[in-house]
Amino acid sequence: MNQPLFAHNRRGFLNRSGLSLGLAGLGTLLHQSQSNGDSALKAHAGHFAPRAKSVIYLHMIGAPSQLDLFEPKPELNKRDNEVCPDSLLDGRKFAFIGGEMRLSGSRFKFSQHGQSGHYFSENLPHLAKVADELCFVRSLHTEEINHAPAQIFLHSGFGRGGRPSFGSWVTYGLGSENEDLPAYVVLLSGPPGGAGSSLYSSGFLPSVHQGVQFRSEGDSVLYLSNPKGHSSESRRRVLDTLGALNQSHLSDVGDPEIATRISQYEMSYRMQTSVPELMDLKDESEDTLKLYGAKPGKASFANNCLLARRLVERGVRMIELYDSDWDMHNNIAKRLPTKCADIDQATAGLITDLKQRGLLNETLIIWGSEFGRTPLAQGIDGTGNKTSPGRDHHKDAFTVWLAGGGIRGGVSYGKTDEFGFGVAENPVHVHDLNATVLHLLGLDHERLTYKYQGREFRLTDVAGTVMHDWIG
Amino acid sequence: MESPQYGDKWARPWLDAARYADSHGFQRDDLHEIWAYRDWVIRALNEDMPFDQFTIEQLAGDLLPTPTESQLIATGFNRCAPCNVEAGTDPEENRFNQIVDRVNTLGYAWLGTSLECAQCHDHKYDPFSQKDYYGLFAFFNQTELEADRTNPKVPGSIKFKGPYMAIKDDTTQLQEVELESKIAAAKTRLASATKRLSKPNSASPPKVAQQIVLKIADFESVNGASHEVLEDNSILLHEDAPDTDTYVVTVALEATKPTGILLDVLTHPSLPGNGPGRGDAKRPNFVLHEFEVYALDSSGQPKSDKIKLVDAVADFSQNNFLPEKAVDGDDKTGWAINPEFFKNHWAAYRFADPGSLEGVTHLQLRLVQNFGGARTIGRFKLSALVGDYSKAMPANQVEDPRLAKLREQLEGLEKQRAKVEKPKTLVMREIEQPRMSTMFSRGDYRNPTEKVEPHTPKILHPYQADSTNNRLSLAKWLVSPENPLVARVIANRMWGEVFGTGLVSTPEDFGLKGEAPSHPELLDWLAADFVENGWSQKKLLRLMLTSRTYRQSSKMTAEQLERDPNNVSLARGPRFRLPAELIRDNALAISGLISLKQFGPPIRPPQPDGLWKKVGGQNYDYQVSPGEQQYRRGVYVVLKRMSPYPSFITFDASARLACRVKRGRSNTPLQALTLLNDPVYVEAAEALAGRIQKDRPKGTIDEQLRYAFQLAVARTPEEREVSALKSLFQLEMDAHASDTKPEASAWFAVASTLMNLDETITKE
Repeated sequence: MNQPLFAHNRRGFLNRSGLSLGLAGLGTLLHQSQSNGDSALKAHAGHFAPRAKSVIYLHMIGAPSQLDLFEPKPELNKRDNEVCPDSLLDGRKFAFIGGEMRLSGSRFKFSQHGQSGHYFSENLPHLAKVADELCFVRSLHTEEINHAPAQIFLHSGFGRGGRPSFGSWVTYGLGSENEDLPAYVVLLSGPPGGAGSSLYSSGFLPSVHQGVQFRSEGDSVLYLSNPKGHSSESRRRVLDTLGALNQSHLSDVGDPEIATRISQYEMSYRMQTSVPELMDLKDESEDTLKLYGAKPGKASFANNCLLARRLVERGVRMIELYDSDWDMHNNIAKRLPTKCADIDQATAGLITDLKQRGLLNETLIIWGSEFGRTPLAQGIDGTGNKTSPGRDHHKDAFTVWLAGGGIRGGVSYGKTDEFGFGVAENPVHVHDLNATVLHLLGLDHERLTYKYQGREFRLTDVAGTVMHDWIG
Repeated sequence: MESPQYGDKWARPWLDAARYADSHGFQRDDLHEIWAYRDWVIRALNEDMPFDQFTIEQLAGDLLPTPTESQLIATGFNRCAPCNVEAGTDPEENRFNQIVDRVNTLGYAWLGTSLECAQCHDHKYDPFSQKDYYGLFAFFNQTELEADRTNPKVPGSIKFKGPYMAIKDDTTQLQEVELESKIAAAKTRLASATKRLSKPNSASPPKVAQQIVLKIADFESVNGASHEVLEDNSILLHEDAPDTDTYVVTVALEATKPTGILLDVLTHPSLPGNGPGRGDAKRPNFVLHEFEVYALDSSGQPKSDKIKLVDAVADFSQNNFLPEKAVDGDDKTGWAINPEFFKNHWAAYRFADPGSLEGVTHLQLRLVQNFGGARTIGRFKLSALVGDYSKAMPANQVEDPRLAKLREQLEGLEKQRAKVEKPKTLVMREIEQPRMSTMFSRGDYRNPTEKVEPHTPKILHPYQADSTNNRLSLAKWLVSPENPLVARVIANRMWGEVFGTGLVSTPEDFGLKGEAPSHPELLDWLAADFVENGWSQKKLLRLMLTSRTYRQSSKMTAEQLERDPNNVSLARGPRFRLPAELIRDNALAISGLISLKQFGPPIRPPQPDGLWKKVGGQNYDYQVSPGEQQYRRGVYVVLKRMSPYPSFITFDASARLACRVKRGRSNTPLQALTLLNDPVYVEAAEALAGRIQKDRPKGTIDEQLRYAFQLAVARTPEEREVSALKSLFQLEMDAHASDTKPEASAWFAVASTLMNLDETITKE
């Protein structure tokens, strides 16, 4: 664009023939053919040998309190209900808390477990039993302080909408091992997060990379069932005719897009069998159901954990479970145990089950949320009387854990200060977490790019460091 | 091109760029009204408004001298920026992000340039500096806050403010005037009847009994509303009132021998209209469906049996909503106070068996309020009553049924009026006291640095700052004849819509990292022609559609595919899948279901239940639009950003979270499932099946099949195509031989096949 400017007459335009656009080099169009829905999802090798084949991402919508689950803080407990010194608040931002800020200790008992000596509060007795499988990251921090932007940031590396989700990047990078199921499956217990379906959107990647929600009510995949009163045999005849007509048109006009369309219709037909088969838990043994606390026919996080294992067994690359109602601005004492009861046994069961079946070492499990919660109390009245304290959003230091697929169990990475306000040692940014997860899948986060809007976009934007300390 | 549907079709790409949607985005993804802007785009395209004017009105219509209503509506372009009203959001951060979005959108939509890197640092590849970025930012820095604190004292509170502009509308105006006069009459009747019939309202609770305020030990709103305990031990709810709620309150019972319980429902300045309800400033009612009291056992758990409450009395009750309804075990009936809003009220209940409370130290109370619309209590206090107060009961005042009837009439009229409320739309509005504009270190809104005046990127044609130096100056600069980019960018995008791929295949980036134009002279020539023809988009389009290049056959040979798979050399005509909206429009048209009615509020086609449910934001009951409304074109389908219409997203439509000037074109099994099984397409196939039989009642099967084929793909079928369909028809007839109407099933199968053909959803 650094050319002299010109008048708008035709000769001027022709003379300048494109130079005014300041374009450099000839780009090749070949690598971005129109859709390639078919080949885009063919399994393809990553940048190097992977440690994990599949990911099960357990996202607790609303942000559980790390200070009441994994991070005992004796000093915070000691100074419970004291007015927080300003020095601790310097430069920090809170979503809701204002006025006088009081420190808030945990109401729960903590104890150490396993060889690793990881701390767990009394809310997670089952998970504590698999302590040594878990790698704790205690020093994660993010950029966003409200749910929807922080959820979008965690998933896409960007705080506003429109970019591909983590799972979409993974299937874009690796394709699918299963030809009868989508490569990226989403399971929900409770309502979807504040960012809605944008959390598993493929953004500017082709929609073949979009996460597909498997629902517990109605059709497990939208529009999976044949219309009422129309049999599977009739559908087969329609598809055969459709295939023949499309084939005939393909030989006429030669567009390979038609061949892709034919194969997508066949996959849709296979999904009509493969999805209900997957969702049906009747073949699971009594012991397995018990291990998870799953109940066939019920919608629950436990059922979803079991479905996650079944998806892994079928070669589905990317599975994300969302569980809602973790946003505890008040009454953590009462609400947290209830929520933990929903997930504790099932999460531990998932790890145990995968291990028993020899799948844990190739399945990466991530447990976490969009941010953590404050060491400050929320929900106290004007006179300082506690009614039912909760905690506010906290983006500066929070906890996630990883297990399986290449992860070194028993590791504890990063430290927070004695109150849990900030990171004291080894900070980890969301981009670092995402870079590491891609690395475990055999993908170099700096080379996994997609050209759009004039930029080579990455999940990790222009940052991200692979955390080799977590890797076994 | 002269048909009114031209605008319906061609508005879609521009609305993608404008990120037009019917909701805010983010967690509190409430619907907002800005459809008048969508209609403006459709009308402007139909009228072939010159593109320079089209630009100026959208970017700065409000700054034109004496702007017309239409020019103000046009400024909705920039109001399409997502707005974050999630509780806890900093209003200033939201304002900053919206401006960032506006600058980035300007870059993509007009300059074909990605400016967004320069928010944080000088552009890496293209000659844009961070200072240029904030120069553009400054033009947009002078509009009103669109979301602000609900209560400046409550951190985290935030609500959407607008600004909205009411739109003139003759039919609703007439209705409004009529209803207004009826309402006035009904109000007069009610007022005079009230004077005549109502008794003085004695808001004093039972006098003789001793009242002991119950100290709050714990409070929880089941649906997560936050609260505070005020000094008088009343509980005040604040922030986002959930639609329905149940309050679970634990209190210490410090009274000896309590005989009853008193519930005071109180007003407060922070409540809408002062309360005592939470849902509506004009009618702050509540409905207390159940009021349950449980004793806590020694371990702090509520005992399973409710403590029985009798002899309900209240200072005032709405007709049919008496206080005893709150203790009848039926959660569909309850106590309410319409029309005595804005005042304190109370209800008292006697313990049927006071002896059962012996030794009880704590009570748990549950206040079930499930009316909806946040008809919940905003502030309340609980007291134990001690002593025999049965003799001291004041009169239990109930709304006079005659008054209730008049009130209901009035409410009916007011409801009708609310429905015809003037349509409104979001517009840009400048503030009176200009803000100072600065750069921001690393693009962080909390780190302003040096002062910046509004200016355009240095590398482009010069900008003459005028006395106003505002958005209008920017818009004029953008479409000045000296601008080398805009005409090319627009011509290129239109080429992309017509041919499937732009001459510059990266329409969003004409910069160093974008693709070079495949035919630079052609692009220059088109751009020049566009400007010379008075920026007429219709002329530009006609030029493309009548070109020999466009009218080539789209057949491709193996050799061509090998040499030029993406048809860069334009040696054949375009062949590509239709965009999402047109796939639906096309199916509705083939089937004969389509309604070509234009304009107005968005419509809702059938979609699976429950999709709009999510954390945060208002709950909407998704009702399918009645009658022909649901068969209107895709451009009118409601777009809720965090839960967009799934059948469109499946076909690569944008959720419009950001400017998008090019859509992907994927090919997936979910698309197959949608066209085969989505009730919208099933209904269309059924309608097509019916249409074939209706339009060709006497034809042979062959004739009927030919007719149907022609409807679907607009060409006559080959013999082999007819015979494939015919054998399907026969197989279905045989399979359904025992049905009463086998041909219905057979024609459905044929119709469904035709609707799913690759050719049906492809432009070739």
